[in-house]
Amino acid sequence: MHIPDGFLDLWICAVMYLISAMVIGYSAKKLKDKLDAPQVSLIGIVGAGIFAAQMLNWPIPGGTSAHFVGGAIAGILLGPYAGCLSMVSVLTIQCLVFGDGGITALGANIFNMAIVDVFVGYGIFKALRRYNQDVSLFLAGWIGIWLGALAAGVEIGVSSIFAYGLMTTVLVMGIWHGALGFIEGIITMLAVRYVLIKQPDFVPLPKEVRG
Amino acid sequence: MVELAGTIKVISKLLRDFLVAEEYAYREGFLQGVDQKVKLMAILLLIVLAVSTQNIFFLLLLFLFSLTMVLLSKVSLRMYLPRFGFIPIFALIIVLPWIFLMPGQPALTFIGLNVTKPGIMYVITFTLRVTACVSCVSLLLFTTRVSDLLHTLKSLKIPSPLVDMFGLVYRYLFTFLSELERMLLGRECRVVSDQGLLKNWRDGGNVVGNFLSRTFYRSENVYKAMRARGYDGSFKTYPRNDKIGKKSIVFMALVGIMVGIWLVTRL
Repeated sequence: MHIPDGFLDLWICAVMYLISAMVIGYSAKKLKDKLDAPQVSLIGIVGAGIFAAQMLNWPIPGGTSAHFVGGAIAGILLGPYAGCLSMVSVLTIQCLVFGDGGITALGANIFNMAIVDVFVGYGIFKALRRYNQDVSLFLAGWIGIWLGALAAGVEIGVSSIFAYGLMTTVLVMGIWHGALGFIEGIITMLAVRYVLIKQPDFVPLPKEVRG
Repeated sequence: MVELAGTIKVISKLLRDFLVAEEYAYREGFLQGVDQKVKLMAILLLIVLAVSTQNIFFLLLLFLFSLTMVLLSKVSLRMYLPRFGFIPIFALIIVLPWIFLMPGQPALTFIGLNVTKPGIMYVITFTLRVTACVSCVSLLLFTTRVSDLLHTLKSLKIPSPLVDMFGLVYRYLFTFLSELERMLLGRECRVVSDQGLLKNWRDGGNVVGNFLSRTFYRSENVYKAMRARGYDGSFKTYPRNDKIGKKSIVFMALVGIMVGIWLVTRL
């Protein structure tokens, strides 16, 4: 889901950088009192863990496999603001050190995977948890990544250098990531449930998540 | 359970790509000697030029420019090209139908469909643009040490806590990849029969949950270890070459020529 350079118009890149910078700034402001040395190390190290976990190959019927993004997991386990900063760190290192995603498209990639995925995932979990925790986790993972993919579809679709129209790009990204997001939802549900049930003492969950 | 062989293959590729790039970043080549801030800004400028042009000549020239920089920087083309080659191929496959879809004068007929001249031009331009862009980004990956990159980001006034997080992600990624590999191998050794897809998935979820718990646990220990070594809330980064030398000036001049050509092609 990392958009490379050359797929987006410059003005979209600029707008997405601006929006992402504003959300990152707002997240840092919300964490201001807590963004001390232990919190910085927690966010960075959990980011490294999520990056490593993204390498896991999940077998799916038909002989192929999939990877997960982990934005909803970051949002739920760290809280939305710290989760957002953690995913920003992952995406920036992926772009500047490993060449995943373009430099001009970094703002858009951050918006899709570190903002939409994290905040939507966290919001769904928080809103639905009281009804059914497993369902809320599944929907957080699924809808978070699906909306992130739709955002990517919009960004690419409105770019004049990409010839396909908005409807096509949104439809393709929506269908494809709607299916892949199902896997993201299951992984989010299984992994976070394990943490919440089996090892809650290891994870200093944000107070919103602890309930 | 997650697919062990596939996961280890992905981890190995990531590490191999990184180690190869890191090895070249330590060589005494042309771009390795350019001031890091100049290099980062110049490469960003070149990508902006590529994204904002439709001129095939300029895009081809930019790609050749990046390959020349690769050779001057003592980076092997055999290592360089495969690193990003799949992205232009992916881009080509995505836009290829436009050779038929783009309205315009037919150039030839293929299986009863008209291949149009504007369609061919669009597909070539788009693919060449993506190729030139990823080639320029790869210049940065192959010729920049991560420590220099972090210092550059700090000197560009990116907030220090954010750059520290980038540094921690980079530093502990390899530790966690190794831990993940150990966990998967240990799990594989204890499983003697195929458990079916559902059980595999449930076990895989538990492995990820356990791995994330270990990540949190480790963050506490890492923080204590950092404190014990004098960490005061911000990592120090040091410049390797903090003055703009001859190589930086030559590189800026070359990029200036590319900007000039870009301007001429827009007239």
